[in-house]
Amino acid sequence: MEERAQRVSNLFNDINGWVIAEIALSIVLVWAFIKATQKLLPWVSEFLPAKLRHLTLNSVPILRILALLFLVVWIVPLIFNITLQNFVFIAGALSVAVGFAVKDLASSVIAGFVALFEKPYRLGDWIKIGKDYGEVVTIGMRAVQLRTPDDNVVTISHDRIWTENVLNANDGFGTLMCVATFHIAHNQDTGDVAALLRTVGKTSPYLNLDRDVIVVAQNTAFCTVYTLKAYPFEPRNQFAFITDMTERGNAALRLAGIRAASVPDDLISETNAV
Amino acid sequence: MTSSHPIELPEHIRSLIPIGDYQWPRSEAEQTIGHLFAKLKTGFGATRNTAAIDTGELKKRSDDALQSALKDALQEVLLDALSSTYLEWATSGTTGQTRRLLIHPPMGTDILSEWAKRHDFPILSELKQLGEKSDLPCFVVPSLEVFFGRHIEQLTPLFDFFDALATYEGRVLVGCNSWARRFLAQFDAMQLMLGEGETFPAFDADALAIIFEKALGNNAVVKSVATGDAILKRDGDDTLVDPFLAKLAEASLGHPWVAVEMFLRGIAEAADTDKETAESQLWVQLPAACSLPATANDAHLFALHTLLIHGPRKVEELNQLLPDPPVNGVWVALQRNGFVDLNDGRVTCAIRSYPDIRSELGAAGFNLDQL
Repeated sequence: MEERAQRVSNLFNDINGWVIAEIALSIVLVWAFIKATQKLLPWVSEFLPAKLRHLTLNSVPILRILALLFLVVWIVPLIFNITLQNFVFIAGALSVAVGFAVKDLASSVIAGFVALFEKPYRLGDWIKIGKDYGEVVTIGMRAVQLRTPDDNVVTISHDRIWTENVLNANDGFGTLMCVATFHIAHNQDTGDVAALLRTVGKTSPYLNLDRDVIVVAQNTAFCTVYTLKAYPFEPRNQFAFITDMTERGNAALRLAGIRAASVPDDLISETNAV
Repeated sequence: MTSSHPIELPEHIRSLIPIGDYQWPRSEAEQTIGHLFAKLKTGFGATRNTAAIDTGELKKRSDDALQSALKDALQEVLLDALSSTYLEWATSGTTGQTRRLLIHPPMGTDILSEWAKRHDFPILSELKQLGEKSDLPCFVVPSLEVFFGRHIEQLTPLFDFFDALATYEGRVLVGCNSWARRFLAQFDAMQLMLGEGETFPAFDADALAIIFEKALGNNAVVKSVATGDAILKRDGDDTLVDPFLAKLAEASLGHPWVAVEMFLRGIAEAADTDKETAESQLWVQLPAACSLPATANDAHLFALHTLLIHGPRKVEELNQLLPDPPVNGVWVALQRNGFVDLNDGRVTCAIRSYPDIRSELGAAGFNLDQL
């Protein structure tokens, strides 16, 4: 009994008031650093071009992990007497505690750590997990937050990456593909529709001039479906861009005497799903 | 004020350079961050604490003679560069390359028209005139950007022109704004018909100094507000002592016509200077950075981008090319903040603020021009 008490006693260093103060100060400083980077870098990034903005935003979670690692490396030797024996003992005890008590939390934290390197999403990316689509606005230790087009913030725990596909529209780049769909009736000359729609895409003020404009035509039983695919220079303009292409595309087709098709609702939803 | 001898420029800026070889004084990121920093400094009301003269004692100076001398000296340099690149080509028959393209950022003057007039080359003022000029050996299209609009219906005349150009056997020199060229580069016809093109080289401090020396002559001394030194003073190694012109070259992105406008914007004289000494005692500082109006930021950015692509136009014409119904007062607000000039309902880019415009558009992610 006395031997066990001695072992436990050897596990810890002498903890006096100064040590507690040092630990508290370290935690406060690291917390302040993390909060400062979380506030300051996104603010600065708003003034930067898309490429630099993503680079700046991506540094936020990395800086947080580095700060937390620094905190652990700094504090652990202050509390524990680190030897191989003690390390194995502490690691074992922690594993049991984590395994039983905070399994889901630990799974999310580990998934967040994996996501940091695997990068299924980064700050500023437009992603879809399950039915939720939006811009990544926060990557926390446990969860990622999306701002949806309806201006709702959705919080999704990182461990969803174990079980679900993550659809990333721009994958760290400053642009993403936008699609405008046009349903053209059969039984008319549609020879110039693709060229017409391509010019519609190329004359949009939202267009990213570095990327190609693509038009794909597909026959269905009811009509010919044209999809105009192009990239905006700023991902946040994606809905304005789609609206612009759709409105001007409709006007150009009408002016060219091309008739739109009347399409059953179930086909429209099927096409959009493609 | 000016001396009559011709300007002897360094070899590297005597002729035009191929697109892609332009030496930007600062990278795009540096421009954006520098502009942001300058805006923050202006916003916080920072003053130059190392100024050699109390800026409160200076009053703005508007000098038509100086303005005219500087612009004439610059024009001579640019016309010489055009001649050294195009004159022999334009008069040497029909062999070899028959289409040339001059690309330049927005300029206050129509330099290519001026060059064509001096050398008696016909100018195509409307695209449909091409048929009338089909028997000429060479002609000039000074500003391609005035012939199209970023709209599906306003591109047709341009493509018709390219079609007609395909059968024309003479030589054609086409001038095009660098922003219009960036937009048109996505159309194959533009690339195939006119090729890559050339542009004016970036002017460094020494090149600017030669223009200023020519324009100012030996009578006037212009001192830097920051250091109190004469900006054209040279040491024993013939190196400029004061860093003002180096900073001006950097701030103007290497475009000499922008540098001249920024210089004219920044000159002042001491408030108690009498008329006799006024010409010999000028002070100069870089003008403060312009900032976009705080509201309707996107509307202002799209308006500026549209203006750069299409060049000076009537307000109504530009409004038709904006993405959304134009916000009332967007051009007036841009004029108030120093980005554009409005004259008789016609909008022009404020050349002195061109670097600020480019930085604002770059920071917002717009596709910038390429030189």
